[in-house]
Formats: sequence, structure tokens, C-alpha cells
Amino acid sequence: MSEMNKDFEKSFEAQWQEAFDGAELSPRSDLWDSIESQLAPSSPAVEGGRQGLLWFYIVFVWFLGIFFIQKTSRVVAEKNNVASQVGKAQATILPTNTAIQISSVPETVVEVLPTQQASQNLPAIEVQQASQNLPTTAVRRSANLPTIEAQNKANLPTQLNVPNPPQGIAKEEKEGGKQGGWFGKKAGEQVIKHMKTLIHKAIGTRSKENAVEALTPLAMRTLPAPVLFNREINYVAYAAPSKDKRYTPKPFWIGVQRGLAIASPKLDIRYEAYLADYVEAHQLQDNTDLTNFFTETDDRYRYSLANQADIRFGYQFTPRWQFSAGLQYRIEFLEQTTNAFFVNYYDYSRHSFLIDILEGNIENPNFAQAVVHHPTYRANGDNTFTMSQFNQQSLIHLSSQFQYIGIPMQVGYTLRPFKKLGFVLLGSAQVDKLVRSATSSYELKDDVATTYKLNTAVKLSTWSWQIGGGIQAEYKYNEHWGLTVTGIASQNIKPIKENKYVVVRPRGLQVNVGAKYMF
Amino acid sequence: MSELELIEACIQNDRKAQKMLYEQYHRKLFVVSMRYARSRADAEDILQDSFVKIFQNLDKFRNDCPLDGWLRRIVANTALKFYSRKMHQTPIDDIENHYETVSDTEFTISQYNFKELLGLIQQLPLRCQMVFNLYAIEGYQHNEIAEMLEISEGTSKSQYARAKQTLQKMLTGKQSAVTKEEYV
Repeated sequence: MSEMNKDFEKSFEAQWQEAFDGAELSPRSDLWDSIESQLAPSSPAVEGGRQGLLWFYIVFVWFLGIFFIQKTSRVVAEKNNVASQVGKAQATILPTNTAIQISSVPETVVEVLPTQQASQNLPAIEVQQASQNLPTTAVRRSANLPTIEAQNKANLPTQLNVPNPPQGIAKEEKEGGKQGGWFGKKAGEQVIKHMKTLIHKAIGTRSKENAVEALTPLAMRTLPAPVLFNREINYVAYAAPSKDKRYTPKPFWIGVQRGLAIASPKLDIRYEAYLADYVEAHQLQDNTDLTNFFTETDDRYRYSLANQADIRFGYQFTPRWQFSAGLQYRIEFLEQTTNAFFVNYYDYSRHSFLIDILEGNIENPNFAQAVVHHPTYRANGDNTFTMSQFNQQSLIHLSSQFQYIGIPMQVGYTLRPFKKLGFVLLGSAQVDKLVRSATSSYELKDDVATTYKLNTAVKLSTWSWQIGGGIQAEYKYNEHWGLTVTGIASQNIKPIKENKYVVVRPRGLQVNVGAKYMF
Repeated sequence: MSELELIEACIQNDRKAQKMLYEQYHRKLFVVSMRYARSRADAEDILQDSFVKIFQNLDKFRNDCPLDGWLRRIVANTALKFYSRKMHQTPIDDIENHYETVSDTEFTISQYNFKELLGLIQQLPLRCQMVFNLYAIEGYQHNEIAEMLEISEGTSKSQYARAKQTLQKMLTGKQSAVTKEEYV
């Protein structure tokens, strides 16, 4: 029977079924990619190869953090070598060095440094005077602090001869740089010393040995001061009880982060601007002699480190909108060492603090006058004003600590994800309260005669508010793991003091890098 | 890897297994998609949506029926959903027995390859195309089709008769081309 006849015997439907039986056609070649982009990320057990990439990322971020710490620590380590050298060199020369700290200056001002004193190049100092509670000469006598008269009577040398300190310093700096390394044993030692120091401070050990020991590890906490522009890199971990396919946790999540704040060291430029401003003003007004107004001070550094820990709770209200809030504890350290004539100015009212080191020529009385007359340093009740003049062969080491409790809040709007990459627009707000601040200072004359002073100030009911905005990108690596990078720019909304020189942490940029685990 | 192991791996979100399943079935399923679609682009969209559904619902697959039948059903359902809005916007010419029936034995389709047949099916009016596919090729009954397409059983029958007559005309050369505008 012919094929045609066979077909005729089949039903209409059967012929069509047979015609398509086993038929195949190819769609476009990239169709699988489109399908894959819509599927939930594959399980980690399956794509073990990519697991390595995740760990590489985590390790990379970790070392990035170590890099920042190490980089600045090395500089401080070098400086400590310098301090040691200078201290030993001057041990046989210097009788006494003095730093005077004046806290809580309420209103005004400041007695100008006696021109004669400054011009005589006395090794220690004097005093701005305020209304109340400031250490007058009498007070200082009663406290066995060296007075100007006593220092004059001591017939202290006006010129100090340290055998080639600049060369020695340069050499030590160079060697110190080699010792530091980026990822070597030094890092571990620094961490241990840092922890020891914290313990000493916590239990209140004040012995000379501990004080001396504390100097080095204190200096290890080194990152530039968070004043003008605050940059932070935080390590973040999230956990969320969900397997949903979206790029934001649902319905709620918990985030923990521990961050390091990194701030710009460039603020020193501001001092130059200030001094230049003074120079210009006085040249125009009274032809003040500004010869040698500035001084060269190589032995100066200051760094800060802010540690913070957050715990946040988030809730996804709708597929688009989320909200999170939490509690933050933040502690900031600041270290500075100088052999310069310097002024410390703490402004507690602006959430953070401002410390100025003004490098001037102590032989030029106009410098001191410029400082004490400048409106930036007028006391207002919310600040501490300290003005010290040291023998330039000595180093003063000063450390400060500020602790804050903050409430961070964040609103997010989820954008349409792009393949495995999700984006969330963020709006943030934060309320901070400064709960404690403390300062301490050490004079590094030598290892034996190191003196230790501690000013534990002050509980301050100081609040600040910040608002900001940013974006979070999250790479959904697989069903459980996600990598997040968040950038938030913030602005302090509390009005800045009119005085243009007092600009305290007006804005910041925070970058969080982290991992999210959804279980 | 056996079919059961492949399915199990796909349920575990194993991307390699999913791709293997895709490679194994996507050409056949694309033919199914083409039969229901009005264009190749639509067919690719339907196939894409179908595979997403397949992988999301593979854990609901029971072994009491063949896998390829289950997959074809998903593609068909996806296509129906894809065109459901358009079908609802199309008025139903629901006149029973409006089209004369043609004897099954009056023609044969063996001289056409499936691509030519696909082209003919895609020229059918949308609702006719769906009914024809479901009844003639997939083997659904008219009451089932009526439920699936949310039409009456009579409408399903008349749409099928219309599709059948149109195809026979096209196949026998009585009607070389039928534009969809004529019916839609």
C-alpha cells in the first residue's frame, strides 16, 4: 500500500500529531542567558568554583583594611623612634618642660603672651586667662606647677644644642619605614599593644612604667583626624531569615557592623590659611613685623582612629520600601605629638572636636598674639582651649578620646535589579550624643622623667544630627550569600558656628563593604 | 545522569543540571511554543517564560506522567496565558456548524514538512490556532479546552471546525492564504 494511501487512512488529527512528532527548532542562541538571569542564584554546593571568588573578595577587603592601618601605623612607628632619639639627646640638657592645659574656658579670653617672655625664648609658657577656673599663676604655684617666674629663675637655656637632630631623625624615619612592612609581624604586635593600652586605661593604671609603655601603643592607633571630611570604611555583616529572590532582605534582617573611620589629614592646610589670613590682616593694619612668623617643625604628627559598632534591625515594608534603625557605639581616639608651639582647641558642641596645632615661630611674639586674639579660639563654654609652648627639643604627646552613642536610621527604595546586581537608594539620618570625653598628655623628655597628666573631662550633653543619602549595590552571589557595597554621603545639619574657622565634621562619606547571609 | 537525578538536581537549583535539561528539551519545546505563537519573537518569549516556570515548579512534577508531556503542558499553558488578554479582546464568531466539514480522508499532509505546517497554523485566527493545537495535536477534549480558554464547549468545537476547514483549504490549494485580519 502506498504512503499516500496510508495517510488517507489516518485521521486528520493523527496526521498533524505525526507531523510534529519529534520536530525540533532552535531558538535564539542567548535564550538560556535570559532564562538564567531570571532564575534564583544557584546553590553554593554546585558552583564551588565561585566560592573561591567570594573568599577572595572577603580576604581582599580584610587586607584592604589592614593596609590602611598599617600604612599609618608605620608613620607613627617612625615618629616614635624620633621621639626616643630626641628624648635621649636632650636628657642631659633640659631641666624641665611644661605643658599647661586649660579646660572649660567659659567666655573670653585670653591674656596675650608677654612679648618679652616669648622673645626671650623661654622653654615654657604662658597662659591665656579666662574668667574663672583657669589656673592662674597662684593656682599653679599651689599645684607645684612651674611658673614663669620659677622658670626664669631656673635660668634655663635659651638655645638648646642637640647634636644634629635633623639628621638623626631622618635616619630613623628611613629605618622605621623598613621595619613597618604592610602585613608583617608588626601588625600583630601593634594590635596587642593597642589592646594592652586600652586595658591600662580601663583599669586606671597610672604608674610611670605603664605610662611609658602606653605611649607606643597609643600612637599605634593611627588614622587621620575626622574633622573636615570624614571618610569611613566599615565591614558589615547582615543576616536575614529568608530565601526570597529579591535583592533586599525580607521581611526583616539584622545587621552588625564594625567600622574604622578614616579621615583626611589634609586639615592642616587650614592652619596655613588661618595664619596667612592673620599675616595679611596685620600687614595691612599696623605693619607688624612678621619676619620669621612661621617655624619649621618636622617632629609633629597627629592621627586618629574611630571605632564603631552598630547593630541594626531592618524591615521590608513593601517590595520596594525598607526601613532600618539601630544603635551605634562609637569611640574616637586622637593622638598628636609635636615639639611646636601649639594650641589645642576642643569644640564639644559640634559632635566632633577640633584640635589645632599651630606651627609658629616661638621667637616671634606676634605669633602668640595672633593666636590668642583670633576669634577661632575664643572660648564659648562648649570648648576647651589649651595653649602650650614647649621647648622645641621636647615632644609633647597628647591623646584624646571621645565616645558617642548614636541612633542610625535608614530608608531604602529598591530599584529594579540588573541580572544579579541589585540597587537600593538610601536616605539616612543619625542622632548622636557625646557621652564621654577625655584627654591625657605626656611629655617625652626622656624615658626616665616622663610625666603623665590626665584630664578626664566632662560629661557633655551634646547632641548632633546628620542626614545623608546614598546607594547600596548588592551582588547576589547565590541563594544564601550576597556581597554589598554601600556609599552614603552625610551632612551635619546642626548649624555651623559663624566663625568660619570652626568647621567641625560638616560632612562625611561612609563606605560599607560587607557580606550578607540569608538563611 | 538519569532523568530522575536530573530533575532532582534541578530542584536543588543546580545550574549545570538546569542547563542540561534546557539543552535536552528546548528545541522540541520551541516547536510547541511556535505552534501557539503568532511570531518567532513571541515564541521565544513564551519559551523563556516557560523554562522559568519549569524550574520554579519542577518540585511539583510527579513521576506518574512523562516529563516531556509535563513540559509541553507548561509551554502550552504559558502560551495561552501569553495570549489570553488578546483572545479576550477578540470577539467570538460563535455560529455552530458555520463551516462545512471536510472528510479526513480527502487530503494528506505528508508532503509538507513541519515548518510549512507551522506557517499554516500561525496564519489561523488566534483563537482557532489555540483550539486547533489543543484538540488536534495535544489531544485535549473540547470541554477541557472550553475550561482552559474560558469559552463554551460549542465555541471550542466551532473554532476547531473553522481551523480545520481553513487548514484543509490551504492544504488543498483552495485557499492559498488566509489573513488573520479576515477573522480577527
